Parts: sequence; C-alpha cells; structure tokens
Amino acid sequence: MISDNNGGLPRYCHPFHGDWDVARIALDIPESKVLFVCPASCARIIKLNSFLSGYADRIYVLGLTEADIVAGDYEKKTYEAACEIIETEEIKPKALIIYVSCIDAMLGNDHSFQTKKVMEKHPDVNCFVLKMCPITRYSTDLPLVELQNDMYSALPLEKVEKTRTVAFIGANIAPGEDNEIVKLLKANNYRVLHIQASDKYEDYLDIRSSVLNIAVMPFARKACETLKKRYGTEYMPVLLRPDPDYIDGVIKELCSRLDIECPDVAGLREEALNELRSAAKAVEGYEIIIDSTANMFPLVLKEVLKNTGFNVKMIYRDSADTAAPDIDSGHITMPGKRLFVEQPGTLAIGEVANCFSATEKGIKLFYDNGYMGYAALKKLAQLIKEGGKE
Amino acid sequence: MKQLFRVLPPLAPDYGGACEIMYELGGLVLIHDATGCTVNYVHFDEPRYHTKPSNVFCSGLCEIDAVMGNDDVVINKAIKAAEELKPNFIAFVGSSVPMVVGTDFYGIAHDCEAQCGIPCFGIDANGIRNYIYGASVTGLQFVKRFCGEKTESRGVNLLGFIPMNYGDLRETEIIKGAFTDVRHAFSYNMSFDDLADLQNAEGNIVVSAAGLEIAEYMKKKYGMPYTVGVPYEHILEKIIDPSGLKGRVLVIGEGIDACSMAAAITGKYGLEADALDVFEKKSAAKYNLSSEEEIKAVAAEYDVVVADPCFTPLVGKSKIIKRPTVSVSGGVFNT
Repeated sequence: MISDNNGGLPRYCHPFHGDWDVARIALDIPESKVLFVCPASCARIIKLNSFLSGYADRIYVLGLTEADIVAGDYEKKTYEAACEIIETEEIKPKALIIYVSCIDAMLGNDHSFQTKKVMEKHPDVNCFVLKMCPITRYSTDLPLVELQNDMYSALPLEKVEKTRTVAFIGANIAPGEDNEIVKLLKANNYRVLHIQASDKYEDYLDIRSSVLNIAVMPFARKACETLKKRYGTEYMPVLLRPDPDYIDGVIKELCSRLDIECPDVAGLREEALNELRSAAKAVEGYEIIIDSTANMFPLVLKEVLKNTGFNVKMIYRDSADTAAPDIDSGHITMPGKRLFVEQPGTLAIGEVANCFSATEKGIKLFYDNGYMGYAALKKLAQLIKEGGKE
Repeated sequence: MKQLFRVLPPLAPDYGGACEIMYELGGLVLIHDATGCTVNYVHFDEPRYHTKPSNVFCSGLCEIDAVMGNDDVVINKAIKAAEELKPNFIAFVGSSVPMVVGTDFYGIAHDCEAQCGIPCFGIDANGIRNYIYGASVTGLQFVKRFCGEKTESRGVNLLGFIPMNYGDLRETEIIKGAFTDVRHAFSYNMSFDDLADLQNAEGNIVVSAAGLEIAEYMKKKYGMPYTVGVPYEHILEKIIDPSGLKGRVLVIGEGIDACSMAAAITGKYGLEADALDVFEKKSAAKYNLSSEEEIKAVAAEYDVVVADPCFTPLVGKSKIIKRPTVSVSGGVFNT
C-alpha cells in the first residue's frame, strides 16, 4: 500500500507554477474549449489563471452541488452543458474537453458515455475527457504524464500518410525559431510541428503524420509510446537537460535518425558557453540560487553555471532529488524558514527561489519556458544579464 | 443553464475563508487535500501569503488514504509538524474529497487533541460552499473555545473582517481605518491572545456575513450588542471612482458590504442604489443571485454597476465601476 508519507510532514505549498495549469496545457490543442465539471472551487485557480493569460473565453465551469454528487445527477448535466456550449457559443469549438477532478477519481466515474452522446449529436466536435486528479498521483502515473497521454490519445484512430514532419510533444511552449534543432530540421525541409504554436485544429490532427516525435519532457514519454503504437511513429527524448555533452549527443542522434548532415556542434557549444561566461561577468559577486521549477535538472545546471564562472549558492529541490554534498540544498518544509527581507547580492533562477530566499533579483523561468538545447543556455544567459540590470 | 459559468470565476470557497480567519493566529492549519485546494488558497485567496508567514499546509491526501480512511496519516503529520512549530492550535480543514468519503473532521480533531494536548479544530469545508461559510464556522468555534469571562466593556470588534472581502491589503487598511475605537478586527492584524479578549469589547460591528453568527452568539452569551455595515460614506472615494455614478446604481458583491456601499452612494450622492449579493441566498440585499443569466438580467435594469471587473461581460450597456475583490477575482485585476 502506498501512502503519502513525505517524510511524515505536511506540505508547505507555493503558488509558483509559471502561470501554467492543466487547462492551459490542454488548450494547446488549437480551437478547443474546456468544460470543468467539478466542485466550483476546483476550477477557481483555472479560471483566474485564464484571466491572467488571456484565454478566459475558452474556459467553462459546471459547478457541482452536493446533491449532484450524491445523486449522480451531473452525468445528465454534463451532457447538457457540453451541448449548450457547442450550440450557443459564437465560436464553435472543434474539440471540447471535459475536465473532471479528484472526486471523479474517488467515485470511479466514466464519462465516456456522455462524450459519445455529445459526439453523436455533434459529429464535427471531438469531445473527450481529461483528468485533473492530484489525488491519484500515487495510484496511477503522475497527473502530467496522464494529461499528455490523454491529450494525444484523443486523436482519431485512423492512420494518415506520413509526411516530412517532426512533432514536439510535451513542452508547454513551442521551441523558438532560433533553436538549433528547429533550424536544423527546417534547413533539411522538415515541417516542425508543435500544437502550441498553431491556431488550427488540423495541426493537432497532423501529429499522426509525423515521422519522428520529440519528447521534450519526461512527462511526454507515455504519450509518445501511445503515438508509436497507434501510428508507428518513432520518438526520441530531447529533455531540457542543460548539459553540453548531452545536447551534443541529442543533435548527433537526431541527425543520425533522420539521416541528415550534422552541423558544427562544437561551434554552437562554444557560442552558448561564451554567452554564459559573459552573463557571469555581468552578475559578478552575486550568489545564484536555482530551483527545480526553473529547470528539471538543477544539479546539472549548477555544474554548467559553476564551470562558466557563476557562484551557485543553493538549489531548491522542490521536486528533484539533489543530494549535492558541496551545496546547500534548500527544501522549504516550514514557512518559518522563508525569508521576507530582501537579500542583497542574490539572484534567483526560478520563482520559488526568488520568493523563499527573498533574492534581490529574480528570473521568471518555468521548466525553461520551453527553451531547449544551446538556445536554452543562450536564453538563460540573456535573462541573467537582464535580471542583473533590474 | 444556471450552474454553468461562462464568464465568472468560481467564488472563493469555504476552505479559503476558514484559512483566512486563522492566518495570523499562530496555529497549524492543514487543508486536507491532494494539493490543488491548498494551491488555490495560497495562490489567489490569501493576500498575506507574500508578506507574512503562516503555518498553512496541505495534508498531502492521496487516494488510498482517502479510500481506506487512514485518518491516522494526517493526525501523525500534524503532530510531527506541531513538535517543531509549537502552534497555538491545530485545525483540520476539509475539501471536496473528504466530503465524498465522509471524513469526520470533528473526530479527527478530537483524536489529535487527545494525543498531543494542543487545542484542535475540525472544519467541515467541502469546496462547494463559499468563503463566508468557512470563515463563519471557524470563527464561531474559536470564539466558543477561547473567549472567557467578560471583564470590561470598551471599544468595538469588527467581525467578519478578513482581507478576502476587499481588493487588497491597502484597501483592507483603508476600510479598517474608517472605524473608530476598534478593539479587535477578527481576523486581521490580530493575535491569538486577542481571541481571549474579544468579549471585552462594548459591542460588535459585523462587516461581512462571516461575522453574523459570531455576533449573535456573543450577544446571547455576553449581552454584547451589534450593528451591521461598513461606513463607506467616509471612504467611498478611496475605494471606487465615484465620478461615473449616475441614475440607478447596482452594487454587486458580498451582501453586507454591497448594502453598505449602496447606502453610502444614496446618502452621499442622492442616487437610487441597490445591492446584489452573489454569495448568500438570503441577506439584506435586494437581490441574492449567483447565476450569470439572472445577474445579467438584473444588471440591465441599472445605469451603473459597481462590481468586480469579472462582471464586465454581464453588465451589458450599463456602465461598470470596477471594484476588484479577492473573494471574486483573487487579486488578478490588481495593478
């Protein structure tokens, strides 16, 4: 039996998730809308985040009452609400995502009956269920793993003809045009597909046609496995690991898999490291504090920064295990350990470190904001320089 | 469909109200949830999160513990944390999953107190009711437990006074400053020791519905009279921009607060003003509505609507004077 022990202590929570939540990730599916079916409070954070990030018109909430939950009345209401959204909204969604919460996991509800009924009435709408159920984090795969898998499992089963397309799976933000992998693919006439960068539902469907999927986060591996089983698409991980050797290896493997000419990796590497060295000079004397919400591999990032001249003082291991003997490993379990008076000469990479250590300067970065490879290191250097100037 | 929200965010829930009233009292507060509810609270419903620490935690509830009724897990966590924190009390606050499995929060509190000797409370929040309920039932439990004998009668208490009622901490200060001879504001800038002194005020002023039941209890137990309302006539210009007020005015918000502001608009500017309470089904407000369709229909009858910016799409051709409140928009419209 797995029970949440967490060292026997309750959790001290923070609100720093880079303005990302499960709905915003799912809304990367172009022309989609989301209907939350849950106790209203579960969707409060979602709707408020949507105001901050400008997609409030794509979020709907069916607030359940106790009577709905006890009597199971909301199955009918879910169907009615879904149809009302499809039939009355000015912009009709091409995908309607019904999001359920922890209570559905507890009750063991299966909403596929309603989604099927909705699609029978509206065959031009892909209606499917996603789950916002942190309560199940020890009983199934991690919620983010399930989310990515469910998002891509909702693609129609029909196989389509493969095209010269490489799809990025799992990053919240599409890689920029300045990314060396994007440049490399485009230079070799590959279509680079990331649904976050698209406003057409058809691009989501086109994921089926890719010849290679790139799993940008560990969370995306299960989704890539599903896509491989269904559509025969191979995948390779390109994690947000800031280690130059790893990045070199990724570029070489990509070229090998696609049988394309490998670029001057050493040149790219030196350029990125020089940018970091220059950033280190810009914040000379500053103590750097990293947290694992900024980069999933804070220990690796620490090494890269140390080797390019930064003074890394601490790592917050919010979710990563950082057994580093040469460095303070912060893990705020008690609110009294938080600092509220600004600490001069400190720079945080990540909002958790910024808040809990009350650093003088802070860089807002959440899982590298989707930057990967040498482009990520160059972007980090730029942000550090800008942060240093604030 | 009345339960379908297209425009408005879900309002601040009961567990948020419960935690708000305890935030400064030096207790150990555990929201019994998987994380989402606690993050909701610290992210949007607690304006003091970024300025002062408080021992509000997530219990880290997981599926198997919920299904098997392993209440010992949360009790043990609370006791372990209490050993380090030495809290004045421990509170176990409910959320939606405990509601589904029928968790007995009063039983958990009783067991925990028997084991550790620290005063413990169970708050049966469920994430479906709004913050008024959570703040009210929590405040009442504290008053019943900690208020002792009345030894003097001086000053007034503000009841139901929590930052969630207002736009931000600046506005909270302005509103507190509108009252004179305040002994305690329950619960803002108030210590645990102050709890045992609430009964020594001459009377109570209820500033939100969260304070009503507490005021009734103190009236019965201590003979303390109470009045209801916020003197907005003295501070209206500091809270809203009154230059747009004209014709018929509708104030949307928490019942007592909205009625007070409507009365101030009438008294100061001679305009017809009514209140619409979006939190409670029954109050002194002219309207008690929560469905978007109904609010839209009522708002259309007024020239000006004073409300949180979230209501903008519902006011149609009426002019809106924006007054953000944490209980509605969680501070996202604050500049």
